[in-house]
Amino acid sequence: MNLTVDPDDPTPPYEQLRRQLVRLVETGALAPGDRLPPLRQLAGDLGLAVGTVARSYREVEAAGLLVSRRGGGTRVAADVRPTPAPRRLRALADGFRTEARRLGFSDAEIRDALTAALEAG
Amino acid sequence: MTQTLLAVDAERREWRRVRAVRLAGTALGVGAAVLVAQWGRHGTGLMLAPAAFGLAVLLGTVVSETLARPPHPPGPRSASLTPRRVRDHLPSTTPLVLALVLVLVALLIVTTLSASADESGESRQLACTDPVVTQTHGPYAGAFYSTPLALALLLVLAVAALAAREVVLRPRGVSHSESGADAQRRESVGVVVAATGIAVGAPLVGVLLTTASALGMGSADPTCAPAWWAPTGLATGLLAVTVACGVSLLLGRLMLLPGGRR
Repeated sequence: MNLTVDPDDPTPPYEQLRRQLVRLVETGALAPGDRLPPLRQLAGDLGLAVGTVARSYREVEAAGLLVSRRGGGTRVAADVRPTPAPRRLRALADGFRTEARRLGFSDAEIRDALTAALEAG
Repeated sequence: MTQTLLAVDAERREWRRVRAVRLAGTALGVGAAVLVAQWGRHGTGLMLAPAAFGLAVLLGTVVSETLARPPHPPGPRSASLTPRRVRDHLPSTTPLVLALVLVLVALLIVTTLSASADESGESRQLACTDPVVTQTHGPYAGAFYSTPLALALLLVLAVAALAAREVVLRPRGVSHSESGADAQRRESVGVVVAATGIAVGAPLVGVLLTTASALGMGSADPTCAPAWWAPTGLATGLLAVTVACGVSLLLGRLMLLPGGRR
């Protein structure tokens, strides 16, 4: 199981990491209690500053998906349950809609874009 | 296909560079050991020379695994989510090295407590007193020897722990796979363990031999020495030979690098 960071992506690296971590926890790929690598290991492997990885961990922790203990590393929270697939799809759709509206597109344009994307794939 | 071949080639070049820097550290260690061996009084330099060698090898390993690596290649970077732990990278010789450390610590405690001071007040002799005269035998690892050796041992163990951690946590570098990078890490942790074993084992052989010699010489006079000195001296001498074999094995592991299994 890998995390990937693309330096050419306009999304900040910490956000790229955060999204992947959230997805891995929500899909159940990371199970409750699973241990994550130390900040230094992940930062070194990805060529990022330790603070960048720490920010990602912190934000996922704030969402209640991770738990950090001094000396005990960072683990997936014990009470996390994978999000059911329909809810994940709905969350993706909500995110797409919110972002598209923020950019000023109308609901009709958003619907057309989604239909075109589905037909293209 | 071509990209994979290029990646494999880059990995080989990186591995060669790491080994070259590590070898330079080993050569530096030999020089440091020769210098330290000439220092000190009553053979303390000779006793501490293996620790100097081990420290130089450990530092060479850290430098080779961290500073001598090329920067990240451009483009997307990926990282495994599996935490890397030192204990997962330890070689099969680790129990031997742990045993050497335990034996050396136990032996130094016993010899320090049983040693006597010589005429200059330095605790480096084994004494036995009969009704007529007190005989002394040395050199013997009293506080004169055991204190600097214990400090050197602590330093070696601390540096070895840090070196192993640095090696395991260092990034993947240009290896085309995580398993390739892990093979390099295992090799370097193997060097760390071997260097630690040599730094501990070589002085242990010396302490065992001097202890065996002092006990043997003392037992020549049965009116002075307790009866257990002779068999204990013999057992200590045999243990010295066994430990010397173990140190030779570790030296072999340290030198026979390319492609060799640690």
